[in-house]
Amino acid sequence: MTLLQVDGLGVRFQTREGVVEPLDDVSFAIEAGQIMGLVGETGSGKSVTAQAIMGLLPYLNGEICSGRIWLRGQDMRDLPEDRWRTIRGNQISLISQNPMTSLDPVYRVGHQIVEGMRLHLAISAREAHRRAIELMASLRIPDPERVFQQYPHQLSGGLKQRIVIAMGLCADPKLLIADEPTTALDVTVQAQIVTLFKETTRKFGIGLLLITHDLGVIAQICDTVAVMYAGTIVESGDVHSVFARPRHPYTRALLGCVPKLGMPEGALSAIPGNVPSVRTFPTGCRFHPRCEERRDCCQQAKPKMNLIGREIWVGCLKYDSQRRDCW
Amino acid sequence: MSPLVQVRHLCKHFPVTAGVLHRTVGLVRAVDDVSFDIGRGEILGIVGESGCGKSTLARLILRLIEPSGGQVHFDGQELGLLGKGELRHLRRKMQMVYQDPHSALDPRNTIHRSLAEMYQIQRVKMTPEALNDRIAELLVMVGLKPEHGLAYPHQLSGGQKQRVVIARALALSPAFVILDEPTAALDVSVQAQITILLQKLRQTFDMTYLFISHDIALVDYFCHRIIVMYLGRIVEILPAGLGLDAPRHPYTRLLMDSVFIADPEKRKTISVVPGEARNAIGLTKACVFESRCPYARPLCRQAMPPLVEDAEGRFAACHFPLGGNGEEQRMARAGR
Repeated sequence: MTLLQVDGLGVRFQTREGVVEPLDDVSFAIEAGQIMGLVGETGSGKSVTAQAIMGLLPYLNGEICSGRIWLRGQDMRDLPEDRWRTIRGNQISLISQNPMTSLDPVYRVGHQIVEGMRLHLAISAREAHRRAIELMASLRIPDPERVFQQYPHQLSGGLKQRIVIAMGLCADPKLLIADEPTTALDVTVQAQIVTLFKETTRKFGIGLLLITHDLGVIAQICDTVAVMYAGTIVESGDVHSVFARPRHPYTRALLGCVPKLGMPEGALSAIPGNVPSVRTFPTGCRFHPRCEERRDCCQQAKPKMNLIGREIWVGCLKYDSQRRDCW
Repeated sequence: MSPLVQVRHLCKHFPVTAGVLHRTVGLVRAVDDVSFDIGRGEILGIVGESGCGKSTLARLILRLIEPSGGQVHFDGQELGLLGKGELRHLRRKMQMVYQDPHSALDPRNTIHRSLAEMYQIQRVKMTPEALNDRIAELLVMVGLKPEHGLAYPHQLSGGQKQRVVIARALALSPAFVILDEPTAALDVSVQAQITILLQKLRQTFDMTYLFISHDIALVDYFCHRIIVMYLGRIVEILPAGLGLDAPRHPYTRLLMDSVFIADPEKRKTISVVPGEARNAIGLTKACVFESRCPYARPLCRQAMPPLVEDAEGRFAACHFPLGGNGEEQRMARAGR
């Protein structure tokens, strides 16, 4: 059974300036033990996707307006809040960007891990303590008994993020969502934490949805990738195939924007224009104003996802067999 | 020709205070005995992790803060000997672009006013028409339209705001610009736009850049020479574009090994055992990198190695540099 299946997800928010729809027809799936990378720039809808899967939209004045989310075969749409409480933490958990805001500065970090365990699992304080130490050790926290008694401000950024990961894992979730988990960290620490994510998902057999704007991180640990632009997925599939042969013009352009060590001068390319905001999403293909390959029909016709080979999905009219007339 | 900027034994130590009486209990050596030159027309990169002193160094060079020791010479003049008025006059020639364009612009001022302010502060006499023309010219130069002058910062995107900040830095036709992480707050596609714009502007106006970043791949692409800093010290100076086999200092090696390449066929093996930069409080006489260095030997605990030039003209502050001398490197590995 597929761990997480998102099918044609659309999201709507009520704001003071009217209704906005930051997500449109988003579909992907994650299997147990697998890492999927969700990559995109500001305003592409990465974090909203995470909020929808966590059932947090009602708290943000938002709602799912189309599509379905399935977690291990269970339909998650319109689930009452008391059911959600047994799912959040126990089955899905979320790790956010800044470790400092996820930790309470006035409690010892060990207490914060134990608190989560006792909330979600019916275990004694002693048992929770034992498990917390074990979990911290498995995340390679040195001297876990000592760190357990420390306060967040006494720990380095990398150790804090390990504690936040431990809190996320404390109730044995099946799916972990990590929203830009390494953006606030230094490069050498980022390298360790990213590697730790890979090790942890393999060890515990959980699925990981890794949200990031960093294509290097995606290439390093993900099995599959979905590229988002302006609230839609433009390309998704096996990470090796997508990076070796990006088909959507946005994926290709995005890869050209990343500087690499030893790259010759003038080799860096940029995408003209700006990332559109949710109120200014273009009609038709949302990438068409910045696309080098656009044709007239791209302005009106919204591309559907086309299957290429066995596993690559591309949302571009160029790959739509019924659109051969204009392409 | 003499270098444009000469930095000699520059230090900045901040006191660490404790208790209700704020007694000084230690020193943060934010920048410690740093010396280097920036040639005319050069792009010099400074790379390092948070807390390595790269932003403090930038502020010292512009003399926005007073150094604890050492000198900065700009175009032959020692900044420490200049009076306030002379320093302000010289600042026309040296400008800075900050990391976060959202906080670098006053939200209550139109773009036009933010740019016009530069000329007021420097008391440049211009007719209003000439000022308007100049501002329109600046905006076009950085890829915006003259109409953007009427906008307020909140009406612009992050990339557009950073273009305004660049236009402001260029307003007085400086010879030297410090770029402090100019693209760190921007999206990948916009980061590339700004990088390309900065390259083009440097060629057009024959400027010298000091480019500060934590992204070693970006620094390697953008700069001619790279300074690697660790805890307030320069640990290595290397020419850019050498690729992955270049580093002499183990810290540079670690930085390069930590950069993930956007290619799943080039995955790296990373140790997940935590190792992080200490803070620069109360450093001992040991090498700054000793506690994290995989090749550390007893000598490294006894003395901080000086920054020395090797036979190939490369600078590294390491008792046992990598690469250059194979024998020493092997010994260091065996002695682990």
